[in-house]
Amino acid sequence: MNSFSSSSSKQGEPGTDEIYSVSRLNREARYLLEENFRSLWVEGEVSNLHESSAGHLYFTLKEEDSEIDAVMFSGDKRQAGLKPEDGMALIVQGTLTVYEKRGRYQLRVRDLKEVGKGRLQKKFQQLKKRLKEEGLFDESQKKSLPRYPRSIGIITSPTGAAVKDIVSTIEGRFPAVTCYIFPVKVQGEEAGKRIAEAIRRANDLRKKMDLDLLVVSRGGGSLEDLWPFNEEEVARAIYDSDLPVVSGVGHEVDFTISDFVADVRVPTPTAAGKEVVPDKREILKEVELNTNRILKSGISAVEDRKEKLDRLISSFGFRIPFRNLEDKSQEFDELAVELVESGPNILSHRRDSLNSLIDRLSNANPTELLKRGYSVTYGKSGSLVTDYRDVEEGENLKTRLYKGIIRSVVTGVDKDE
Amino acid sequence: MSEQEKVDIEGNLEKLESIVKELENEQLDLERSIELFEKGVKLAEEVKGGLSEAELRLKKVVESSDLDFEAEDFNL
Repeated sequence: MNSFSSSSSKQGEPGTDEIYSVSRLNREARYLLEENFRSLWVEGEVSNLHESSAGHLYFTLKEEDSEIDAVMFSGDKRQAGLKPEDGMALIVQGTLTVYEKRGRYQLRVRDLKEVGKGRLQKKFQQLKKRLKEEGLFDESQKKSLPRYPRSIGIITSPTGAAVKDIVSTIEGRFPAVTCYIFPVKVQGEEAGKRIAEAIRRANDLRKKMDLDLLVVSRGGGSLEDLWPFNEEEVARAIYDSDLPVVSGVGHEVDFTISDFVADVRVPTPTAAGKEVVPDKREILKEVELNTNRILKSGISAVEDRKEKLDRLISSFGFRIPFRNLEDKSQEFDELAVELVESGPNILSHRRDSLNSLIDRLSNANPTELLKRGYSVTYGKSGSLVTDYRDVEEGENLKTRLYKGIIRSVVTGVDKDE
Repeated sequence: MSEQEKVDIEGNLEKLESIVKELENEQLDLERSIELFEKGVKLAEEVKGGLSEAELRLKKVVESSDLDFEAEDFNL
């Protein structure tokens, strides 16, 4: 086959022709490798790239736990459409050879092309595919978030920008909550493990803390920085969480495995803050709409009664002065006009602050009647007195006026005035 | 702000909604209308007050086991 094995001999003293010089060994190794790996494609990630003064490129092509030296001579470099850079994932084409002077075997690269974003990207794709097939990303498994949470667990670094973004966003929108920070490292060794532990711990303590949901988050960074959120242990902790989990990692463009497993994925820490609580401005708007509906129903109630009263007056056919009724009719007219006039006005200013709305409502409400001299009388147990039969002699009454109240005792009752 | 007060924001919103429905959907006597009207305005004020007075509570978990935890006030 070749000179390595053909001259093998028994143990013991070798013959003179069996002793290799270093240079011969290297040369023969080189022939052997070049002959057997004349042209091949190799995939790996570039590191330790440097360029010699002669314009040759030297770098290491590596994967997770294996590497090989590579060289690209200046002529080949000029021909290639792409110049390699550190961290680049490449498929290189070339020959396997030996640099005889150093006895080091290496790839002589003639051409190259870029693939994906390197080893981590590949690892990411593989895990994503596997967990997806296992069903960890299924929509049917996703929990919905409570509309009005009382207590929120936030798993992130206590010193990063993310925690500030999340908490200040929550505070601005809906401050009626408690936020528990579970401090963790969010990058580097052990970070994934710590994040997963915090998720499990928060679930253990969810009753004690009254937790409604969890946020896992960190700010932007390189793929390496975000890596803990691509670890299987974190993915499984999120999947196993009884509490709904919102994942907000990195920037808009960053997708992590934890984003896919989480019940809700948001693009940034700030977006996480927006997602987990309602906006008090929306709530106030809703309150305002409801108050408008109350007002509208108030207007129609008065109008209904005014119509009834009108019918009543005309049906009586009285031509004699009926001051009481006329007065009342006028009161109703005025009140109805006031309500009808102020009503649409209010409706057209829905965006006015609730404050002014409430003020106006107070003006439109029955207090206005009290202002005109009417009063409301309450009997025992605070019930409204509308009938002489509601009260008994000696009973204590409370009469509400426009300003203040009068306490009185019933000295007698009559059916008619 | 206590737990009870916090729950009330949600509870008050629900009550307000049901008051509106009652006012709109039923033939009510005037007394009941007035009563609901006043109650509604009061609830609206309460919700508004509850939201504007609420203060976020921020805690950092400093120690925890699967059964209990210790948290301290945390400032950003």
